[in-house]
Amino acid sequence: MKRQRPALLAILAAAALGLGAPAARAQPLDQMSVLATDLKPQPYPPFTAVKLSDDLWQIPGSGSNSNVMVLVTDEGLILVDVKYDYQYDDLIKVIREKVSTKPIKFVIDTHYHADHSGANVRFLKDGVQVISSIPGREDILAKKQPGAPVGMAPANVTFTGEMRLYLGGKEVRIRHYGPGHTNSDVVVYFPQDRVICVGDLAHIGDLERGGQYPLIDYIAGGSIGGWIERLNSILADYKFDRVMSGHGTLGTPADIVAYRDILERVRTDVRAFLADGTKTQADLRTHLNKGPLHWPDPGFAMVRGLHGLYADLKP
Amino acid sequence: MHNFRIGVVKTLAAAVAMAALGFGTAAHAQQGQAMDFAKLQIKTTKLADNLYVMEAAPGVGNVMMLTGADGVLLIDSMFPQLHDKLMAAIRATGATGPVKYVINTHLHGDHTAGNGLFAKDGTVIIAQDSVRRRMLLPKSELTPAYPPENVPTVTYNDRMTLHFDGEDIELIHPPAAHTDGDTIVYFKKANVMHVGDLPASFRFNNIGVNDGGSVDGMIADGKLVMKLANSQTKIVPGHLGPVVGFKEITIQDTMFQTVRDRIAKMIKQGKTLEQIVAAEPTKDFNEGRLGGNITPARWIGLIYTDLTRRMKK
Repeated sequence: MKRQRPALLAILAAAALGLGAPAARAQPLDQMSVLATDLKPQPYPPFTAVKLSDDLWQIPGSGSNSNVMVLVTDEGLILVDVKYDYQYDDLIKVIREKVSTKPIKFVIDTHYHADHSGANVRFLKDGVQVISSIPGREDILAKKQPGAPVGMAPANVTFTGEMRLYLGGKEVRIRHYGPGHTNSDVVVYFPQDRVICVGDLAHIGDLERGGQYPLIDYIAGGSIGGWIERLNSILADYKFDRVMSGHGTLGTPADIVAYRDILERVRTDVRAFLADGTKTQADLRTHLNKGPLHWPDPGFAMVRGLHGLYADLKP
Repeated sequence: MHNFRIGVVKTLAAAVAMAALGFGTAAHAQQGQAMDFAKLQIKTTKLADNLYVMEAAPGVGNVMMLTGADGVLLIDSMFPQLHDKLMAAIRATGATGPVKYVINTHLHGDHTAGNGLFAKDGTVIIAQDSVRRRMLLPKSELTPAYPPENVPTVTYNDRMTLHFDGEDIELIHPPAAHTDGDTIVYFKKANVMHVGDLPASFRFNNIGVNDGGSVDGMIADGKLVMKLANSQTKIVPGHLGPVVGFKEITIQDTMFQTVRDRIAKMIKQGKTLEQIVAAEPTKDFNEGRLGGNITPARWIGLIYTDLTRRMKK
């Protein structure tokens, strides 16, 4: 699923990021230019459905859009993430043809980013209950994601702590711990199948998308320390055999451990680099790109994370 | 008392306590077997453009309704025997669209027994986690059986918000008071709050001492309601409404504290429940409070049970 990014866009984005600007100008990078181009409708391979168990199906990410999980019960379906607005018809089509014709009762947003929640607006029109954390709603209303599609709709049901859904004899647990990838991340657990969906709190088997370059959305309350805590909590609080991250392939608890370790390495490296108190944000940017972490520049991780990481981890 | 095994009652004192608590009768009332539903009429009071209270009788939990373009939202569901009358009262306001949600303020049957008939039509039944957990417990001498069709299917543990009919509806789970699964529902824009069976209207409130509730919790949550609300908030009590304010809650709070202290003192003096009931510790509060379902003797029994259990710990 390697995304093709036209060279011209990369050049424009680089220009917008202000490469070559005075190093002393320590302020948020211009995110708009990079992300706006990414969030415009793009061609994508046809959707497929992968059966995980008698009642769980994955609609894998296809290009930049998110993985979707579908729980099938006698009384209806529950979806975790819904891809982009413009992909709604194809998503419904693959579910109806491959998975089930039962009504969709609930949609759960793992976080506020449009590649996961963009189609909320269509499901709400269908009368589906759309659930997110409270920040998941507020961040969409506040348009925290630069270049997000116009007309995005937030969840109509929000919560703090935990919510549980009971449908057709199946149980679903939805938990919002606190800041991580964003401030709105929730995990969705299917206890009967021992499967957990962690949204973008991990990237499994898809390093190009950000596996080794965590996108810490500091602009929407993300935090590297919080993110590490989130993964430790997931490992401590749930018994699961399989995990679905927001993008990439299915994994196991070992993949959560591995991703947590990636985050630990980033934090350790950045802290060590900033430790003497003399480094500027521009220095950190160069270090992230040229040092052992090799963050792409320009790249998502750099655009959303650099400013916050610097402010968060400088001594 | 026929549905509760008398054989387990080992002592006279326990029997007196049980009678005072009204077990059997309370369970029956909660399941609606002791009420003549045919005679009940529903009284509807409009609180705001799209908000109403429906009252049937002192022993039937007050229902609140939000209406609008998205459909109907209810707080609590009365009894199945009143379902048709409740639906008629809903439609009589001009409300259209499906009943999308029922939010239960707590598990007791006078607030939840009507859930099943709504759920059958696709209504989402929402409550705090403990409501579901306790409703699914096996029936015992202390807890009535709850029909499975009345059990909520969407639960939350701390706070939840619904955005519906242009309102922001906050579900707030306070520390255990009437039960350990209480929900306060706040309609933010209209500034209207349904407090379920937390202290509000003038009556002797049931205290769910076998459902995680306590007299101290009731006192604390009465004060909490006055922090969450403001002096302009229209507060809808679970019974004997339609609307109260801080004045009523403050007076109820004083009664709770005064009577609790009197009963605690007598327990420490070694008095039995019979003696405490005979001493009439609620006497100066009886006036204006005898309209509810709980008699002073039963109320004293609830507080006695709660306090003696905690003293043993």
